[in-house]
Amino acid sequence: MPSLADYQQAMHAYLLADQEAPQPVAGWCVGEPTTATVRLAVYRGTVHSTLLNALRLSYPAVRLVVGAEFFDAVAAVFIRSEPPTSAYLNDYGERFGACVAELPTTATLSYLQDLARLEWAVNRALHAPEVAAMDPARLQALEPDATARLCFRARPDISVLALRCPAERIWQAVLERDEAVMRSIDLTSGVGWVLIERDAARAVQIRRMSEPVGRMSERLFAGAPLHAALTAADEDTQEPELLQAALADHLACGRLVGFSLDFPLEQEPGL
Amino acid sequence: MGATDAIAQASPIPAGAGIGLRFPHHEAVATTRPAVAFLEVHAENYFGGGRARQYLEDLRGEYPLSVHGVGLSLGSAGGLDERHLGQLAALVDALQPALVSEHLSWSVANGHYLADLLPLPMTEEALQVVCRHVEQVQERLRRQILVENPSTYVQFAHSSIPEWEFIAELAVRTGCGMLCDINNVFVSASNHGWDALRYLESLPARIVGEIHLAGHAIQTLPDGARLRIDDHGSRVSAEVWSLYREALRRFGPRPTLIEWDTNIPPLEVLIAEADIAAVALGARNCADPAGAPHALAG
Repeated sequence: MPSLADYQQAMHAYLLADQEAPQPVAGWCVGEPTTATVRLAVYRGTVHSTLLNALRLSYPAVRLVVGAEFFDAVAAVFIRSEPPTSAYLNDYGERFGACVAELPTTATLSYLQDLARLEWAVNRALHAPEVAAMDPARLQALEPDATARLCFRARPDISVLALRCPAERIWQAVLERDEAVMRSIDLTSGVGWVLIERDAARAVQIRRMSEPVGRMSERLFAGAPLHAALTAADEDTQEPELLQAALADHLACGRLVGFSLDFPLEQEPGL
Repeated sequence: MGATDAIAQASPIPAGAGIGLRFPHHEAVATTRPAVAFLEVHAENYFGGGRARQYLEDLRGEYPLSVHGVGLSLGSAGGLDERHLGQLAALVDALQPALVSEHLSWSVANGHYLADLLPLPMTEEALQVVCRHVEQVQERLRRQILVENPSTYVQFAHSSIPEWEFIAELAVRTGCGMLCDINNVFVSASNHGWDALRYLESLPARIVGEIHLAGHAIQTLPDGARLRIDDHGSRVSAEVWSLYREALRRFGPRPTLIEWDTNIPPLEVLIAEADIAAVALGARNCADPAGAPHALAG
């Protein structure tokens, strides 16, 4: 008689393995093992169809570009190799887009990697938890020399991406199945930075940013100290006031939800 | 567990017919505010934010809510996922639902979420694992939960406890209630040759805090046998409606939910199913042996 842990280990192996035989689980079931095999396959089918559907929902444009059959085949391999670690399936599949885009078969689709990254950022913007913005007035209580050491925490729906093509135009045209627009897009244009976020009406917004603002925002939202974010971006621009204006915009638009001084926020809950 | 005294009883929810709120119906429900007794949502669909969560926040003032978890994995030998439990606790704290429920099943092993409600062997070892986890959940949520009977396609040769006794004992040891899914009783009874009526008769009426109804599919196996699949993809079958009426006679009126998760129909179809349940609830011709529907096991 298997222990509960032994049974669950064996079932885990069967559900995720690239094999049809549910051994030894079928032998632990009532009835003929051949019948048990068919019955156990119902569970295996549900596991795969549920996870496949989660990936389809997160990457609808990628699926249209590469074709449903190819997408589903890659997804089947991905599900076996990188099953979810949480039942919150909106978080499942961050690496899947890259897996599709990095295959030799899709290498000719130069825009696919950016499209997949953009699509995951949109997914994140749609589903990330609500977190209240910080009150900028809290910053006024800081000593002036502390300002440069500020590390901000961004709203979880926000992503900043450096793109090598007009991925947001491609994304929209693909989802709208607009062949004319697709043909008109210059894939060599659109190099630059975008900010993807959820607005107050819960709609996803994609905004273009200048390169210095993009670099600064990427570092700032990743938790880098303010002086490091400004300095790194400043090397790219002769107009530091642009960065100050962008920082003010991030604060005014509620993109920052907390801060600490030179170390991660969670280590200093008092702030 | 003897902790019942420290755990709040579930808030009252009307013994009427409710519907499972799914994404395709958000807009229609928000706009038309259909006359259903309550709404039930899958907890994991609302762990995040965005429009889905906003719809729910808007509707919670209009309808009693039931939060139904599908991913906590009460039967995992490896223990509960603390992060998942924390997300559930945050949702329950925010929504203050009338009912919270989970499943008698498992879905997590080796840290991986296996996206189905997988069957447990009905053993003393499994019972102890599930009891430990139900206690953990109830203590974290500071409230009683209901545990739903599963639909299963296999039985294990080493199972030693009938499913209905397993659930009754779970309620005794932990103070939890039961979410009695009549479709699951029918599906499992058909698949394993059990007597569905005897299943219901073996359950203490006082532990049943909610009833689920749903459609199922039928698959013919290579040996010619028929396997019923709990796919929530069609109307409630005639046999399940009949069993439901028997359940009402035995348990008395209970909040009853229509679940529909695949091939989701227009909202009107779902509400029409709920109306059938409402008629059965109103027409039941029997005494309520359990008293108030929320007077659960203590």
